[in-house]
Amino acid sequence: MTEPRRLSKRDQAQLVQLADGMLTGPARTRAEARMRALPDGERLVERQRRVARALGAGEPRPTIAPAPASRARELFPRLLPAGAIAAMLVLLVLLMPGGERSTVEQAADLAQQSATRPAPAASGAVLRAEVEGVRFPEWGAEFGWHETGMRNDVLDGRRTTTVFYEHTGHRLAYTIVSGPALERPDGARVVRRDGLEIAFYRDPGHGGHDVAVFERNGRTCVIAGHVRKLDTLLKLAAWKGGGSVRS
Amino acid sequence: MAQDERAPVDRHRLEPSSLATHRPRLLRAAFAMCGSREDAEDLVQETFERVLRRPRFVQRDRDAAYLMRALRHTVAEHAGMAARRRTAPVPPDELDWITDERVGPELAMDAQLAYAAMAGLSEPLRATIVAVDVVGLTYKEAARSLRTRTGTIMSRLYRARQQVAEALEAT
Repeated sequence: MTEPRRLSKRDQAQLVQLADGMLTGPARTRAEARMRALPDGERLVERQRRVARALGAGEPRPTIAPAPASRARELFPRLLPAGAIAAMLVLLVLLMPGGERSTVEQAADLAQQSATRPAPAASGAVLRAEVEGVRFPEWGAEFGWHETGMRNDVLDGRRTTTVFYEHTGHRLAYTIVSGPALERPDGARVVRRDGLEIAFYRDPGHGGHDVAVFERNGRTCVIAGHVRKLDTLLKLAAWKGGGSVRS
Repeated sequence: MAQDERAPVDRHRLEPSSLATHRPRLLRAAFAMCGSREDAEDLVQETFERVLRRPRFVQRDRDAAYLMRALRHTVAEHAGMAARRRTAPVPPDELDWITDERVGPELAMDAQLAYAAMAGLSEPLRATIVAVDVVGLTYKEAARSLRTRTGTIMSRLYRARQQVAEALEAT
């Protein structure tokens, strides 16, 4: 089916940018209003996203194999019934908090958890939540990722705080880990973005999370979740909020 | 640390190892432009050989844009490949290599159909959608690479995606 009438180049540009999440603030508001005014505007934007998702599906991302399952399998006889192995695995996980997953990987796993507290309030480009002086960014105004909740955990004896963000149905978890910086996961690829070193990889668990690991003020930060383009993850990680988000 | 005095501060030298990281996406881009995996591999290989023939210093984060431009030059010199594409579009079921193996079947199918549908695009629209959605350039980088304006890139990208989306919906 073709669109009911030919859009102006300006409309086309706005819909493309809206679909790609490139607009923020008033420009985004204007584009959304224009989209709603167009016949089938939302469907046109979704079509743009569908094609972009499809053509971005070949982008390779480094994968880190989940450690506990593979190691645990080596420990048990292959002929043991599957049910017995499953029960022993559960016991193993219970006895060894976090299994053999590193603290960073456990922090990335928090993206699968629910928020236990309301989202912290915003204060300019940061939120009123922090771990040892490192505050969480406020991405809503700049990127359209809005904070939806938070939770606190302890991983391998380290206190962590996680803030959850959502944008067009996608969810990200931003976790800051207390204490000295952690080792980067083996196999992660490292890029430098706006002066910040970011290690990233895809975790095949949970349907394939993308994970970015970096340091801010000597603390390890982990962003995990599903994003359409890897670049989104890197852009969010590197954002400095005009200097308010220290790195 | 030793530093090559020829390299400006904000540029780095393209090395074989850094080219390798871009190979998969360039391979898909070349395929989208020529329509044959074998030809695409030859085009990427030739592009890399040309690039490595002498030292190249590229602004950081612009490797992909630089390589895309180099690839387009190589493709332009082998116009026969592009001509063959239009007479022999590749069936979607022969495109299983085009997606990352970890994506779900629905997205993989969309990707295969999308690549097949790109054969029907005009050259400017195909070059634009390849630059942005396959290679991952920003609108600005794509505009620079294709020597046009950013607004033109966005408009072409919109139209290219709409045409590909129509092919997806028709299946």
